[in-house]
Amino acid sequence: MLNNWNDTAPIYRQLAQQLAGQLLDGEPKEGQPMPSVRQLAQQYLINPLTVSRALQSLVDEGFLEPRRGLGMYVTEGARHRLMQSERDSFLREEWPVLRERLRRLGLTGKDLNWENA
Amino acid sequence: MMENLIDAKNVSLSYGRSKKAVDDVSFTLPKGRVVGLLGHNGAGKTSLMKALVGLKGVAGSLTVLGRDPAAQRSQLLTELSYIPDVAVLPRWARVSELITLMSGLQPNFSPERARQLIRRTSVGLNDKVKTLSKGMVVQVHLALIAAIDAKLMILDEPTLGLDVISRKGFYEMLIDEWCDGERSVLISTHQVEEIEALLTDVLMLDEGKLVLNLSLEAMESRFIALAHDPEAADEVARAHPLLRYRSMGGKPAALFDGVPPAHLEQLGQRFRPSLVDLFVALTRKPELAPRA
Amino acid sequence: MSVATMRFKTLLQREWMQHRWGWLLVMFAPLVITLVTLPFGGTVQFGPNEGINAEVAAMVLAKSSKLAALIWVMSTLSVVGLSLLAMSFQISGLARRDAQDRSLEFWMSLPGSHSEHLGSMLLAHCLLVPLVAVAAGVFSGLLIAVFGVIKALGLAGLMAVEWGSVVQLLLPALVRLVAGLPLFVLWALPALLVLMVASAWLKRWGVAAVALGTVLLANLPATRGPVRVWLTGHAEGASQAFFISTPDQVRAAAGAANRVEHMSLGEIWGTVGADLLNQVSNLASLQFLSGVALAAACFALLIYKRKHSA
Repeated sequence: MLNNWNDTAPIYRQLAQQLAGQLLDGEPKEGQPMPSVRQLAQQYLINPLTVSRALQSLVDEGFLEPRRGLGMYVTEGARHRLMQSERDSFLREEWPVLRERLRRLGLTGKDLNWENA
Repeated sequence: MMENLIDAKNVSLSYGRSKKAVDDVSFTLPKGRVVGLLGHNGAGKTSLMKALVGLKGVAGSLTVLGRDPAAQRSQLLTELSYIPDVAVLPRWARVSELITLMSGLQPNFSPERARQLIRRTSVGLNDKVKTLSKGMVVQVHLALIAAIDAKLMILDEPTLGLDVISRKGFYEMLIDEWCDGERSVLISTHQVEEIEALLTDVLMLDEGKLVLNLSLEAMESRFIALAHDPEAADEVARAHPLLRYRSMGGKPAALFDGVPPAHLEQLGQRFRPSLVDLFVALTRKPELAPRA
Repeated sequence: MSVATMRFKTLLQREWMQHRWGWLLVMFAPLVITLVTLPFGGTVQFGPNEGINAEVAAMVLAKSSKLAALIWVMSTLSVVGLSLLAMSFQISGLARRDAQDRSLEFWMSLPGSHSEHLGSMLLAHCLLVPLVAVAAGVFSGLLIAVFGVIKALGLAGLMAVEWGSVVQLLLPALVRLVAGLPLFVLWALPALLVLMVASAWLKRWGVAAVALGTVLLANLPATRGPVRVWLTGHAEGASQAFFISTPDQVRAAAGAANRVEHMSLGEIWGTVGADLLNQVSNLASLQFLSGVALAAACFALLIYKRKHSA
């Protein structure tokens, strides 16, 4: 199906999260331009206004900055800050749930062997 | 330059003396919007669109691109592109002949653009319309309409008969060509879920009346859905939600116009209601389309 | 070119694109049929005083020239006549053409008023095509005449034809025909439009209804008088406009008691001119204008019907 947006949050927020995820992976790198609103709209088949909202929310969080006439650019240090914010979020929200589950299943760090996976 | 591309005030349309097809509808359509016109069959979508392009006269005040549609239909149609719901391309014509004819009738039509768009489909310029399948005819029609440099596009179920790939191609073309902030699109469709992300605004018609006229942004803050455990069902029902149904995850859910009562919020979790759910809630009829 | 002119021109182009094969078929069928049947049948004898002798005898032409001219004129007239006949059969169906194939909504989604669509359709089918048919008739008539002369009088006969004189003689007739066609169409217009209106509302039964209605009106004691007068008036006007067909008419046009056989070329041209002027002045009659009013009313009805079919 064409739509792959779930019902957890407004579409623009979900797009912002997706783009943030890509920024974490270094796409695009810091100091590089983001794809244009048009390109993103075409790629995700979303209205450009919604794309603009998503980009704006990333600007508000300091990960992107608009440059007059040139578009949106990834701010210096954005990746680091994103990383921090994602780490905090994971440790605060997702990790406790996961840890509880691991405990219930009796899995230890040795069982997981995740550093070699 | 005018503010709104469409300005409708108390517009009504009836066929004969029977009930009104369009009943006291008022709305404005600014530029740069993609507006979805939703409604069941017979709700008045096609009638409203016909009124907007001047094919039917109306009571009330209606201004499209600064003109009175019924009085100045031909001039209006040079700045507006329109696909009627049962439009059929002339079967005797070749695609190239249609391009020639449209160039002569529609001053804002670009034959080169049309040829470019048609080349992207599997249809040949020399093919006769009567040899094409239904889906191909729709693709050709869409390509021809997209080649018109119009300020307003009015589409009545344009993707009916197209497969997923062609629909995707149409939406891509729509975004590419049309969403530049200067033009607007009014599109009626049954494929609500598919198109939800493309829309900026929604108009919902029920039995001729306008039951919703909202931007999707405002919709997010106004309508709230709550997923809850089955045990909380009675409690939820007492708060008189707009609609009670099953969410995607299978959990029972309730849709509220505005913030649900505080005690209920603790019994469940908020989630974003889809346009389809909202439509069902506001028109109280069986669902438009089954969930994918 | 203004936008409206461009639109009208495009609508005419549409008629050509949609109907060209039918038109061409009718226009060149006589030629094809003649060529195909030519090898068959016996030779034909022509005496010195056959057929429309009157117009031919003005100049002392050799038998083969007379024959060539005769065949040429007859062929041209038959092509034009066939074309007009085909048009009159088609015309009633044209009113509903776009509604029938459901393309009406497509046309209405583009600029172009109902009157532009109907007007271009009538102009193309009722006037432009018959005029083109004249050209086709002249062309195919020539070919048929050539082959006809060969068949009747052999190649020697063909060599004997004085084409220059033939053309000089036939030219006034051609001019009369070309000028008379538009006038003829104007006289026939009320009848054609009434047929269209009837078909637009009653579909298949339209033509029958018009025939029945006309017969009734022409025979009911209350209406027979004026109706018959009106119908004959229009029929006369139409036939007179079309072409000089009877020697009587020619004589009437010629005025003086000159026998046409002895008219010089100059006098023939004079006659044609006078007759044409006569025909044009006939348009200023109550008879004709009442027809125009009827045609206009029918046109308005057709627009109404088209508007409410979408």
